[in-house]
Amino acid sequence: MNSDVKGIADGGHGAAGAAGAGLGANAGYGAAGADLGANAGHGAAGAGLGANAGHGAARAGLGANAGHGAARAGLALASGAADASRRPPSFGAILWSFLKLAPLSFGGGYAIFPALEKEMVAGRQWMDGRTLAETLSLAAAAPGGVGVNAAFLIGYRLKGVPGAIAAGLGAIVPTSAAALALFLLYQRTGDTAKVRAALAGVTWGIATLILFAAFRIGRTAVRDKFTAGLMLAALVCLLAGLPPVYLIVGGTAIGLAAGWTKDRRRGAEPPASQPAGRTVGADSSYMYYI
Amino acid sequence: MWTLFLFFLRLGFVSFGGGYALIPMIEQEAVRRGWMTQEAFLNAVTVAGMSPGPIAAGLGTIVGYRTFGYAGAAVALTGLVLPSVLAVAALLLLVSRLRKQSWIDRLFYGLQPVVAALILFAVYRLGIGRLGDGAGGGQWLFGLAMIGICWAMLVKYRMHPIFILIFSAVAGAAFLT
Repeated sequence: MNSDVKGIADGGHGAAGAAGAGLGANAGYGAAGADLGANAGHGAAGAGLGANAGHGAARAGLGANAGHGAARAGLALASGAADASRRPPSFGAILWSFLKLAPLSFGGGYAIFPALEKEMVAGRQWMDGRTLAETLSLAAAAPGGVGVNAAFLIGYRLKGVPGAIAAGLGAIVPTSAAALALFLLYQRTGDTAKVRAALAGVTWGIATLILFAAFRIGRTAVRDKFTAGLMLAALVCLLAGLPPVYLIVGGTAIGLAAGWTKDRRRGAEPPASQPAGRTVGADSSYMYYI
Repeated sequence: MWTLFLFFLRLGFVSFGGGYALIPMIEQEAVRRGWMTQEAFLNAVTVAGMSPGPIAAGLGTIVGYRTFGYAGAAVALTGLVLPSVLAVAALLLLVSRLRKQSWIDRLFYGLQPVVAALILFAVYRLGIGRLGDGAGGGQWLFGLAMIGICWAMLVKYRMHPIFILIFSAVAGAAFLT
């Protein structure tokens, strides 16, 4: 039985309930941490979401924290609980969350954003919307796939390095395993005409998905004539055979330079800046697979 | 094998903007260096696209596998992911000190159009690649029709991508043989 107790005082009696139940009741003495659900007992330690009724109730992430005893401030905001606190979610819970989300990133990393919001903010209540939005902007700005970065960053915010590892594992391992498995299957089935034809068909399906991703990012990317021109210029360069690396470096440089010149001219924020929250908000409104 | 690792490492560092932007870069290197033929690469992209999760991870794994077997797959993946990890860690440290909003936005301003272009380019390459070894006219029509139908399914009817993939596979098998 996985124990997430970590220094939380035992209620006196041996843990009757499972420690660290991901979902479900956790009733008993010394009940440690239900991620979702009731955590009724003495010395009840930390319910991620849900009731935490008991004596010495330590940390309810969200929800009632009716009991005696101190609660401790945690990572994110929680509305309602008197002493808002958040017991860091368990390694397994983070892993599982990201594992669940991985299949949704069919259209590319950006595709998970709405699902992430549903899961992290609404569902598990692990962080509030604004924190998530900031984290996602950061994820998009950093090199590497947005999906992977987002996983690491969110995981880190939730539980430091182990959290990042859990999130990363959940997001990456099943993917690579699945991709490899599919590929081996393809090699095994051989290059029959049917298989080739099916693959050709799927290519178009994937092309559509990718097109949609481009469309989505294009909507936020192209905000004025300059960005439109930039995109076209980049396309032309690509078609001409310029290695994409240069374009990325160039684009970043141009972006920073453009920002600075605008700043100097107006002495204000570059007009192109959008608050991080808006970008994500706009995103989730037009991408909802679930 | 070391070259493989370095290659993916380098890729990892400049892979801004999401998995699809990576595809042209991976293609450029893998095909140019002769690790795989273009057709093989396209198939890898397709297979990687079919599997859940970020396409870059899947693609990296497959390319790694094709070059150096299972070890290659692991190496490629690590190389791809490591820079992310480092960069993310670095960013986290920086962010707490700077007025994060402004420079990230500026960065985005220039970078996003490039990323959009990269993604579009990826689609273009995918299409061209498929058409290259095809029969010509009929393929074009089929391709465009497929994109149109899939787009409608995706955007208008908000179907889950997996259905779109299944549909396109079946359609391909049905119409292209």
